[in-house]
Amino acid sequence: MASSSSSLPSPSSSSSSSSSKKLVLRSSDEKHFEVDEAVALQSEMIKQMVEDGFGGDVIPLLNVSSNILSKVIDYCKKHVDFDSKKKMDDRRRWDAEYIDVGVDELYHLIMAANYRNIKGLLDLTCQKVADTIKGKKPKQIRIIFNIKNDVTPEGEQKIRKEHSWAFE
Amino acid sequence: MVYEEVLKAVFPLLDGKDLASCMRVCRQWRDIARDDYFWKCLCVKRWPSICKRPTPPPLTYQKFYRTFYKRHSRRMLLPPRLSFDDLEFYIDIWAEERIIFSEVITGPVLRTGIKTLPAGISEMLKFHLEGPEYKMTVPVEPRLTVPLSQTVSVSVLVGRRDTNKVACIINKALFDYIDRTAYRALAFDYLDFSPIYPFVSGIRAWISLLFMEDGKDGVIDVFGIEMDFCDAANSEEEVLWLLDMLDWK
Repeated sequence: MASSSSSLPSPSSSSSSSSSKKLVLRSSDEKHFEVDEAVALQSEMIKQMVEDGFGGDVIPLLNVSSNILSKVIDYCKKHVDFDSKKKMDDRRRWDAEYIDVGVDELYHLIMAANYRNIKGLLDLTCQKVADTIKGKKPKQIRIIFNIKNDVTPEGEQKIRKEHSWAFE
Repeated sequence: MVYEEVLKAVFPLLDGKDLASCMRVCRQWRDIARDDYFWKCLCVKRWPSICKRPTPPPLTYQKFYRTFYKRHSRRMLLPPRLSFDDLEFYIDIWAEERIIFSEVITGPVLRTGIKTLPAGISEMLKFHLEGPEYKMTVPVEPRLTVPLSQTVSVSVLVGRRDTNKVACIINKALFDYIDRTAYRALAFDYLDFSPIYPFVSGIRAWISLLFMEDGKDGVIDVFGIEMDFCDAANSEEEVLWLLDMLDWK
């Protein structure tokens, strides 16, 4: 957990209520983010680390780049807000706008949410992928996710036949 | 860009149709979507109680889901287990007590039917015989002259050469309806089915004498015999299935 905390806070997330306790997160590309503890604790992983006594150090997030981390922090901040206000409609609207991103970014968000164990964000992002797949033909799915078809025509025919109920 | 864990998190959110589409995307997606866990999730949503069984269903959940997902509206007929090549039809026709027609007609002959319709038959009958409904016909040569004043009856048995068994199709039915506009005399009888089909009943075998239009007084001039099971069977496969279900002895 050793870290040179001298350089912080660099592109810190916008200042929030200065009274509360802060945590410092470090992205894979060595950028530091200072966030309210309540925001950081949206992540079960960070919560566990704080409980284990690592809250005073810089918390390294080896798998998350700074642009994804700042997006994840946006989510956590907003949801700390929402939790205090309990306005479901606002939350839904904000979530829908938040998640309106390309598949690449969506993928990295899922991985970050998974790694940092942020359940709300993981549910939101996975649901977005499911919604993207919904009602699409295999060919359309390949285009959206940039996938090369490596199934043999016979293999595809077999599945078509087995699942003819789905493709009628 | 999509890795296994992401797919494993996403697939439980899909419905069955979408999961089936995912199986056709690429090998990686197919291999992941094949995991019966996702299909179990779908089964749990659809039939929560099935997963309370102490033992899993005898099929995989994937098979279970695709089998029971919806009713099969049109059931494909399996290939019949009988073939006309194995069948012989024993047709006997009486006028009063006198036998006037008694022949063994092989399956292939009945299947071929009347190749060329004779000249001088009515348009109505021609229209009927050339129509799309499935029917079996056999020419009667020489033609039979049947007096209308007499009671005419018919029996038809069918034998199968593969098992050497016989079943009854028509048991002394009377040609009691003469359709003068269609130039057919009709008889029918109800089929006797094997006891392994207890709920099948009310299916008739129809047999008709096809006669010429020349209109001699008091007699009909029969050039062919038609048999059909139009209540239930309207194709060769259906007829063979129906015959298969008879009470073979």
